[in-house]
Amino acid sequence: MNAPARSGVLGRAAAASVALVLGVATATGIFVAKIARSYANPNNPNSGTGLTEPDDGGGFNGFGQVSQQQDQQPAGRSHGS
Amino acid sequence: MTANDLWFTARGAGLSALLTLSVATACGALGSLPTSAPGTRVVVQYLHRTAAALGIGLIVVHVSTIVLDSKSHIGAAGALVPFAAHYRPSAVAIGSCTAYLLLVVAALGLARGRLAASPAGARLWRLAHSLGYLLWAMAVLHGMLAGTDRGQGWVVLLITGCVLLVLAAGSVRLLTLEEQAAESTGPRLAGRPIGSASRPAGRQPRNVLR
Repeated sequence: MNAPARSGVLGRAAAASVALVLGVATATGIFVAKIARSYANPNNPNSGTGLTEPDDGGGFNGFGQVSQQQDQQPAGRSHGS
Repeated sequence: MTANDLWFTARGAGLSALLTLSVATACGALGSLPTSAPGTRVVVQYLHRTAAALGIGLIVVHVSTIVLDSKSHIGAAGALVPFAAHYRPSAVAIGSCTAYLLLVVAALGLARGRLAASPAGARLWRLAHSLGYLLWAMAVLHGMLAGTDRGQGWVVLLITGCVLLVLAAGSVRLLTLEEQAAESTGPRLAGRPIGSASRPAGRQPRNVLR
């Protein structure tokens, strides 16, 4: 591959990489915004699906609050123990 | 910055990492196809490396924000030590093991020039780098089992799209390799595959790995 052809290919590769970086940054922003919006809607059944399973030993309840019951327990202990 | 921003960022970065690693895996499958033009191969391999580096960066953001977020109750031990998390320990362990192995594959990828200098080294390198497919599958599994947004329609669409993208790229690669194998075991002309007879004398592939 001669020098002009090589620089052309490298230019295309660099442009594609920059486009990928911008695309991923935009996608990440959209994902975070969608997740935040779903949490802002208490009617959304998915908004409460955080780390709240009975066997998870407490944690984030999906609304940005730790419940009182969970708060009283040492982190990592299950509700039954 | 609200109290939940770390939590939202952790989850957004996790989903974005899955998307980016899917692009990296697909580009890796397509980037070394012997049928594509050299220029296209260079662009796709650049994209493969950029996407892989971005994916690892997003995993670092995903893990560090989860560790820093006191409300998630995962903690450094839960995130870094497999099966130490109290929340879905197996699902989280799949994620942490995937991250560690991904670092190994990335390090091997960086050392490609040295490792693949000989045919035996190239075979070994290719085998080790193929671990990326398994790691991508483990990342999908981690997202499906541990992800708290997995029930949302757009997340299901995202995961489905990622799976289809990699399956399509993997299928193209497998079909091309099969065709290539069929050509090389087919009728030969003076001990060389017919397809290689058109290669100009003295012109050989520059790299053992293609």
